[in-house]
Amino acid sequence: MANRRLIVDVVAAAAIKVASVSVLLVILGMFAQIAITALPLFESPSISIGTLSTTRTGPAADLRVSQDSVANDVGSLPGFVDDHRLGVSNIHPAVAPEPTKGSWLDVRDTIIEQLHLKAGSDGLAPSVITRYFIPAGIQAMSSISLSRHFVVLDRAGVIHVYRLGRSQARATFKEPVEVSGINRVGWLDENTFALYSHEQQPLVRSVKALTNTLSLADLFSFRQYEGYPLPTLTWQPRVVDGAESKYSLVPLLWGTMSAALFSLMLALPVALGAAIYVGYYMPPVFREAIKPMIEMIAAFPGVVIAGIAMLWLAPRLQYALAEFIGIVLTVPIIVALSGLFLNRYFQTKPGRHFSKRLPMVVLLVLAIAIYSGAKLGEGVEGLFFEGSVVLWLEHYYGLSVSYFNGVLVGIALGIAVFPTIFSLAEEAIFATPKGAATGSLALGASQWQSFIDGVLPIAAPGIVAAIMLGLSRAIGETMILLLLSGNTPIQSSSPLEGMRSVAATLAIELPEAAVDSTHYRVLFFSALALFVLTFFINTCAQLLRRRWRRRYGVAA
Amino acid sequence: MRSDTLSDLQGEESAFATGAVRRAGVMLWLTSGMAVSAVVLLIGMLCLLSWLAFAGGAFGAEAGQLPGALEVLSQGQSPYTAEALFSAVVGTITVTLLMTLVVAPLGILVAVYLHVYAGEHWYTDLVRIGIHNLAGVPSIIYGVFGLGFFVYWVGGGVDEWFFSNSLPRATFGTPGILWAAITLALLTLPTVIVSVEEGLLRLPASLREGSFALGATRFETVVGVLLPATMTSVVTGVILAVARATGEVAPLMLVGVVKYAPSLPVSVQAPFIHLEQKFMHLGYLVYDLTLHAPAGDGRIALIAVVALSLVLVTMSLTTFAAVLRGRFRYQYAQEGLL
Repeated sequence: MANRRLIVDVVAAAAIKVASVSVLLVILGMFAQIAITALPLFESPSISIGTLSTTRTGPAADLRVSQDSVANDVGSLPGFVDDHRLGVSNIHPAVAPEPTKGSWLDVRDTIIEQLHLKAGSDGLAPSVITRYFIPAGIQAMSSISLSRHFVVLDRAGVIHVYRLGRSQARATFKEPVEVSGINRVGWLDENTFALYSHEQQPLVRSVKALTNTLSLADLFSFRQYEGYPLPTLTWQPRVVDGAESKYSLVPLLWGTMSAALFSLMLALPVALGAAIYVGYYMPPVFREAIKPMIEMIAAFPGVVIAGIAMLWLAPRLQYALAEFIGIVLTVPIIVALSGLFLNRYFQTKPGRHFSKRLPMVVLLVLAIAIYSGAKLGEGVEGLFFEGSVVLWLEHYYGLSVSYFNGVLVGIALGIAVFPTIFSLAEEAIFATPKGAATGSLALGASQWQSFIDGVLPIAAPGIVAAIMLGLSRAIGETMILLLLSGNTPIQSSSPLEGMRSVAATLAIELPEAAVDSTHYRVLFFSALALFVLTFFINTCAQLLRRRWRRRYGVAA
Repeated sequence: MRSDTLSDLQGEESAFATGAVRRAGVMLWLTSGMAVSAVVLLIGMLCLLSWLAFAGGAFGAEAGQLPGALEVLSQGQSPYTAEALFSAVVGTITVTLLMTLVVAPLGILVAVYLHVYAGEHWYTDLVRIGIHNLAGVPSIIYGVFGLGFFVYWVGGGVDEWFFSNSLPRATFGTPGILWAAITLALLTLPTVIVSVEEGLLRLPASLREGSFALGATRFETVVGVLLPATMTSVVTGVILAVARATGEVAPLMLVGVVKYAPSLPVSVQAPFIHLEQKFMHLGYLVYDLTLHAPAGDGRIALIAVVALSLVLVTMSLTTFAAVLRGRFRYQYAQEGLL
């Protein structure tokens, strides 16, 4: 009997260990899985001697077709000699050549120039946007593939693969080929090309990791895209076939950070003020009733806050922007002024530090302040802004106020992050040893002085941690950004414009991205960035809180 | 003499009214204003939702013209009829139940492992920090992981091994309710682990020691003594997990929720529950109605009523969990005195 029990115990222990370690591995391995999916994105392409890909039926027939098409291809070299120019190739092989797009390659002996028609004072004039140098001289070059690559064989027999708009070759095949007689390079599919000569069999080369890779610089620095006169930071994954995909993460990160910033600007003062009142001024009896009540705001899911904000708040905000600004500016001033002049009438008895009447009075003052703030905003708008701030801004400053704007996002996101900040900051303030405040009060300091000099230095790490966790919540919130930001990947610091965040982009685009395409990998990479960012912020906050607890022996 | 002291203090008030005292008054009123506005915000949002749901919309001039939610549902004129609502309710309940089935045993398992079996090492400390942090990782990341790992990798593998005869058409290699439930379970796992472990920590050491002293093995102690004693904290953790999962939409958008599902994920025919099916969800319904439904025919009332029920469910679950947790702490605070 005893043996069986012991065996059961040992087996159960082993089973529990294995099972929970594997669960832990799965959740802690999330990072690894996302990284493993994302990181092949940065593999650098390499060229190897290739065979025709097996997905194509009848390689011989294909080769023949390709050779037939040689003569017709715009990029084939001998036909286009004009002075010292070797040839001109239109850069839109996939779509019909459009003169209006006005971008082409000018191929000379040792240099290829990508030109773009730019409107100047005397009409359209070509200007160079990218130069590709081939010092050894061009022997032959291909047309441009769907993924915007072209192959150049130089006179020394070295093969270079270029990406349009990047003057550095993406891949180079160092092993020289016998160039004599080779007069033509042609793509067989997206990753395979052949070098043709009249005498010999074509040489087939394939490029590994060409079409679904890019460099880190593509994601974070200015890039030249076709149809654009200057290098830009743009997020625009391929929407229609043939259009160039633009994967700059900067506008998305910008959108995420600015939304988080707007929300913190609105939520922080309210959350910290409320935390101070509940955690410091209120006696524990009232605190126990009020704190869970305020924390109930967390019961509103992001999608519900976003729904209310979109259907109820957005139309109002559009025509009541002035009233909103009036309220935000007036309410704190009126409340502070009434505190300055009225506080003595609502003072507590000596020895008592909390007045139950005060919140009621403050509620009244708030109502009056909100009403007068709105009226003031309206009045100022009528007097100085010709009746509408929105139209005035648009008329005089050319500032457009979009329906989905940073203010709207800031309010909704602020409500979402409010409970996080409030709850943790309040906990930090309340858990501070009471002696810190009472000692200072006994020495004759005012309540506020006792808070600033007694409580705050002790609670500060906890409050900072609360703000950091609120920031991380704001960065990761998806539904509010999805519904309210307009999802326009523009980069503007104006709170009156829309934005597009990383999280919302993931929700919109990931279900439609093909597995292991560039788009899919870039999205996984942005998820990785989001993960690392929030994990880093959370870890810092955790460590701060741990140290704070250990130091003050608070069992919170 | 005491009244004298009081009046003295009040009389001296003007002399006392230095900058510090004034500033104290201002800050008191300001912080009080913030707290009051937080409470007002909560009550205001609840009132706004109820008003939109039952007072027939509140759109200025249109007030009174829009039907309330009950009328909309009974008339069934909009594309979002009672049928869609029913389907979304069933989908939400099913996915939440499935999630509970996954998260409860796993959460208990990991918590027991950490508390009883792992011992105190640097790596268990690391694991704890990791678990705490995972609770703060954005939910969309869980969706990304669910899509990449469960749907495409595990699901694709299952398809290759078991459903290879229908292969070009994916069975499990596509978003579905099983993957949604597992993703939600991962998302809420930290909540359950933290709650159960806290419960185990609060148990007096005498329980464990007594059990060992009577000759029970470690496994018998866990199953027979520790878990029954901490059942409240298990329930609390699961309730909190459900409350968190009810409001999550973003990860579901990646792993299986759809705008319209032609059939329910549960049926009376075997196997009763169709794990590979896509499903409808109340949170997603709010999103979809907000974004796409034609205005006018009572959609605002419908959105408000769905949103209100989500909020109320979450609120009551949270409150219930708080009450349970309070009772549990009280119980062991009492026994700790013995």
